[in-house]
Amino acid sequence: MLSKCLKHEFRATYALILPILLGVLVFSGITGLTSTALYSADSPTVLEIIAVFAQLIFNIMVGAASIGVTIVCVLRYWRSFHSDEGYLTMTMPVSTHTHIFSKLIVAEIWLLVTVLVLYLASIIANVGLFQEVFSAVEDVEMAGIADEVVDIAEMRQVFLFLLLCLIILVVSPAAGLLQMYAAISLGHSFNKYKKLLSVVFIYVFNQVLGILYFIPMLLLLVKAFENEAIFFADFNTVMSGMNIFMVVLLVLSILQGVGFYFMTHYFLNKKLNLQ
Amino acid sequence: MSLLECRALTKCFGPVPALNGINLTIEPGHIVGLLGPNGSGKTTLIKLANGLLTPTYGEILICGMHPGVQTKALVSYLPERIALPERMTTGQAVNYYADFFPDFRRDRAIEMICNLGIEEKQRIKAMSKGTKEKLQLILTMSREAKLYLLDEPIGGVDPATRDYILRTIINNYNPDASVIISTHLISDVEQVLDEVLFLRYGNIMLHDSVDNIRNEKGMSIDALFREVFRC
Amino acid sequence: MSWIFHADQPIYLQLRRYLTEAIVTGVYAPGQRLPSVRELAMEAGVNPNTMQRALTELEQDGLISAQATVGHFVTSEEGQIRMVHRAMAVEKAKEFLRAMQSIGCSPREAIALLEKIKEEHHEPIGMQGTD
Repeated sequence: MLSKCLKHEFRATYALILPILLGVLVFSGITGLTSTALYSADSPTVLEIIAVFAQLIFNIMVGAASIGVTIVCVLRYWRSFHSDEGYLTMTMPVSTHTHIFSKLIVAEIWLLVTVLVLYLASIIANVGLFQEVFSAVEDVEMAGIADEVVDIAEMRQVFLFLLLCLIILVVSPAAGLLQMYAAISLGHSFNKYKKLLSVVFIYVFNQVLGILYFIPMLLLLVKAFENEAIFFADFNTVMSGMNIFMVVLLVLSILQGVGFYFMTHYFLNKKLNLQ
Repeated sequence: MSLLECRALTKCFGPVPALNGINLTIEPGHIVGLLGPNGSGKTTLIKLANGLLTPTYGEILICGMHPGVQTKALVSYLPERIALPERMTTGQAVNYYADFFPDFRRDRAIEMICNLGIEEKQRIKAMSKGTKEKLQLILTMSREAKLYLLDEPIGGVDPATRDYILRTIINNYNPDASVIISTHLISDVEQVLDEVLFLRYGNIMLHDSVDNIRNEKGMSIDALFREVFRC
Repeated sequence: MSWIFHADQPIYLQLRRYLTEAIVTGVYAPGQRLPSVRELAMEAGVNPNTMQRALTELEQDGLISAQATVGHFVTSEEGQIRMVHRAMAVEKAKEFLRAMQSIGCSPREAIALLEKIKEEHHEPIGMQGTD
């Protein structure tokens, strides 16, 4: 059943999301082309002005695209469960766990794809800048830093850091999605002002989670700086310190995800309140 | 085993009970009318049978099981609203039902869709309300379910469509299954029923066969309803 | 679409009358197989259980017989059909006389009226006349 759900989820969303991503990519190409004008000495002023505007618009598009994709995913959740479609969705012989997972997995994939595409688009759009950077790289400094980190044992911490970054990059959007799903289902468990309450809860959860993340991180930071030796620490120790932060961040994200998952499941199962 | 059994079934929204300790059994092979004024608990009972609501007290059993994934495979529900995804075409909707309901009979659905002249490639969003309702009914009745729950199936449609819907319900009759029709339009539906349930303020006022009522009271269900629920 | 039913009598009894009339007037010939319960129910626009009950009554009346898995058959006993036909005709005649009585005509007056109408039209009422 999960695979069928996933198939239908993709079908329901690709027609909205792919054009957004494609649009950003295409525009990034245009922006990139014009950007080369900014870095050559003899380009006409008109072109330079266009290039600057293109950069501006591109940045706006990147923001709009990430918001847009998130909205598509969130609206999809709402429509499936809390609009009239819910009368069909929730009477199918599919467990609520499967329903939630199918929405989560597909949204997660789209978000990760969006991150990659936007990253790629940003590189393309700034082609002019990169050309400039590469042609200037003859640094001795870079070699210096390379010497410092060439020790395999120390690379371990860097690899760990990168690994933790990657894991958090995957877990964090999922936790964020589940937070929004929970807010929506909670908001719709009321009889009136359902959509308004959903938005309110999205905001409230954001604020509350911000505080709940902030406190442990702050405590960690305070603890870390208690030890004066920190100011004289070598690269490796600094990296392991950062990794501790990352692990705490990861644990918090997982708790966030799990907590909101069960909240979502409860409200979908017991408090559906379709009218 | 009874298809539907309610034991002291109670559902409260806030302090007010929408259903008040209902005891009820529905056996296979019947077409039952669920009748009552607005607010009598008809829709609540249907949603409880569907698993869209959970009881406050008491229990409801479908083929001996509490509402869940397994019972949803046995129950075919026609909601009052259009629940079909509007972005889909007719063909996609048929595939959707076929994918998720193991008892869906695609050939039946396609036959009825052709009979009614609904186009396979037309988007549901672009259909008239009547066509959407017909399509939803076709998809619901094309399942080989044990219990059909129809919430106001003939409410907003023209008389010819009404006839088609009632004929479809008769044609779909299966001695192993039962149909529960919740409706206001009693006189149109009466001949198709063999049992009726009168609900009022969350209580069952009457549960009897249509023949008995006509025999004993000498009046049609429609007339009896008007008498019992006189304002 | 569906047959007309009155509110005050159980539908299965009304179905019994409709079907009896159909058999007696030859719509369903002696020995002929009737459509299935479901088909009859659809044609009449009624619940199949109700139609089944009507058919059971007809079986008890001796007008049809049920053969398991095959269906229902009109009896080949033409005598039985004639008997029922006669009973129906008697009933209709009595109805007529009662109706005439309610407007103040005695049975003798009613019969005389029938004779007069028959002579005027030369043919049974209802068929196309030559004049």
